[in-house]
Amino acid sequence: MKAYKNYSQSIIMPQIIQLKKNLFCLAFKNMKLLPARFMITEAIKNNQINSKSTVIETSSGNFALGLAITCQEFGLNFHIVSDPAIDSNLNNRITDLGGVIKIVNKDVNGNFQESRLNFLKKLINEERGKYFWTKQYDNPDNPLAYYPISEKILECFGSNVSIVGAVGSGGSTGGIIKYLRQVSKGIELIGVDTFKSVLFGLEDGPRTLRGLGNSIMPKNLDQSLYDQIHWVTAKEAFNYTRYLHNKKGLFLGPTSGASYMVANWIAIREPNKNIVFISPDDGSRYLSNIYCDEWLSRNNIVRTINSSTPTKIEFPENRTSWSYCNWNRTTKIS
Amino acid sequence: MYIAYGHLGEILQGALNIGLDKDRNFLMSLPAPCFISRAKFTRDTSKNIKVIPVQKTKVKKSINLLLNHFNVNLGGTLEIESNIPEGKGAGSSTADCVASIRTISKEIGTHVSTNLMAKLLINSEGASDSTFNSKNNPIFFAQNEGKVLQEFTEFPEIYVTAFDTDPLDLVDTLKMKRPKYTPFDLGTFQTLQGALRYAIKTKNFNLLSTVSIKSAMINNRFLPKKNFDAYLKIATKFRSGLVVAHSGTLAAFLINPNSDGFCNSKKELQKFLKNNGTKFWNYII
Repeated sequence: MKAYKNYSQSIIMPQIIQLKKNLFCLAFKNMKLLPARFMITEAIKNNQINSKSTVIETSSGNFALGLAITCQEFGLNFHIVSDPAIDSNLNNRITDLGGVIKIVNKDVNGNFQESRLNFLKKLINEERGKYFWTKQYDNPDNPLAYYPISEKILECFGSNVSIVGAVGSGGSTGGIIKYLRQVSKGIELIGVDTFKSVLFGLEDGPRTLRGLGNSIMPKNLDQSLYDQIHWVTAKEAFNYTRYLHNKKGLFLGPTSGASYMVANWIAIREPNKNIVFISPDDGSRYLSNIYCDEWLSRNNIVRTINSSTPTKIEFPENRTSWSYCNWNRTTKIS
Repeated sequence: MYIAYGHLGEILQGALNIGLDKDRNFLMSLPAPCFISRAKFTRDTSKNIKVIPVQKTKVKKSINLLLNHFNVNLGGTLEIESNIPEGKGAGSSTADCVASIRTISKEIGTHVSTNLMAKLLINSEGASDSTFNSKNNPIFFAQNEGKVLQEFTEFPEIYVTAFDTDPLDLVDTLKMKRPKYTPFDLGTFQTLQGALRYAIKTKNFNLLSTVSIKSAMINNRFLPKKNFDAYLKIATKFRSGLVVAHSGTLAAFLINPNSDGFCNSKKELQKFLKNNGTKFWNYII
């Protein structure tokens, strides 16, 4: 057995777990390590980063953690601009990896996203040349990073495969499918989003389910790559995440539960095709919420699985239970 | 006497992004058993090996490296006989060296592993082709580093119709510039590697030919082949693969000998070449 040269290498590739004859989970510990590492490596090669640079980002989730691990391994400074809602375990981990966390307050509209961005831009302007902003939503290196996953999918399944994945920045699903379609244009991509996310034509609003969906349109999202879009609720995602753990032992994050629910439905409808869904993180960040019954009941999430089939809708609309739309690789529908 | 094959271009050729280091160029050549280099050795009492023809200086260098590696002295004459065209991207100089190394290593009773062969070739040639696996199977090979990336024990059966896209043109391999692939090209090449591994493992001919066509299309941006679009169109129409030389004008259609449409595809592709006045020849690997 070969020894890995660093921690990143040991966890950067996903494990493939077979759940049914034609249903497979691509399980990452933290998928965002892949684009984080790729962006930093490319920036070093293109002389956008030197040993004195500080890498900066506004994420307060897995991408920040991926960057923190990468910067620690490359010996780079790393700052994240976050808000008081940052999860304290993540905060501790990033700080211990050498990252600096700057917390901002709400802006006049009661929104954090805007004030985080403004604060970050202010820092960059104050000391020109010091910071390298990774910009995960807009940086083309985000989708470009995913070729090892497309390689692995084809090596294991050939081209008789469909991909199901949650969409947040559009980086993973878009990146993986673009490479796969270099081999076969027929490979289908099914995107999983949540209600009140603007990614596929819905009006923005507060969302309980995190890790997918978005309030702003990322430049990395290319809607014309998706064959079908599913919108799921927090209740459904959490329940399927717990189902996977409770019944099958898989310890995954909430977007994995959402993608599993969709992938399982497709796997039944298309028995002769391999359905591969992406699980972007494991459950360790969610022990005190999704894996905690008390937290679920406090947040009015009933532990039950009742919606096993989605409602087909012709146009995107904010609804209260699992719905899908045949997107047919278009850019419109609104 | 031992022999080595030339090749007819590449099933897959490109470069890989390997992190902070410079991109890794790699290829998988299509062996051409119709192109053979033979090396015959006659021992004598002298202390040196004389290579015939004398202009095969890379051969001389490669066998000297071999003898130095095993710390052996040997005297005699090594005669190379080859029908592999030069300047066509058919791997003529690599085949000469491989046949010679095989012959001399037998003479001195040593075993040359694939990795040692790669090292000897790279040190004598600068960059080497990938046609030196002991079973003459295609391999993934980093030709500038002399690094064997992956060997395969089995390979799908392929009917090859080979031709020269431009018989009057010659290419000097060592003077060629490395293609400037885009970051997306690099990711695509690694993706194609995954597809090709699956195609070889499952003997999926259609997937193998898709990979060859995609690779040919990307590389045609850097070393355009005469009438490439016409070859591409007809290959796609008759579900054949298409390989082109990374450093020459040779090309080939790959036809599935085990498919129902084999006879028709073969007939149509060869008719196309005939109508264009292009000479072709066939073989099976």
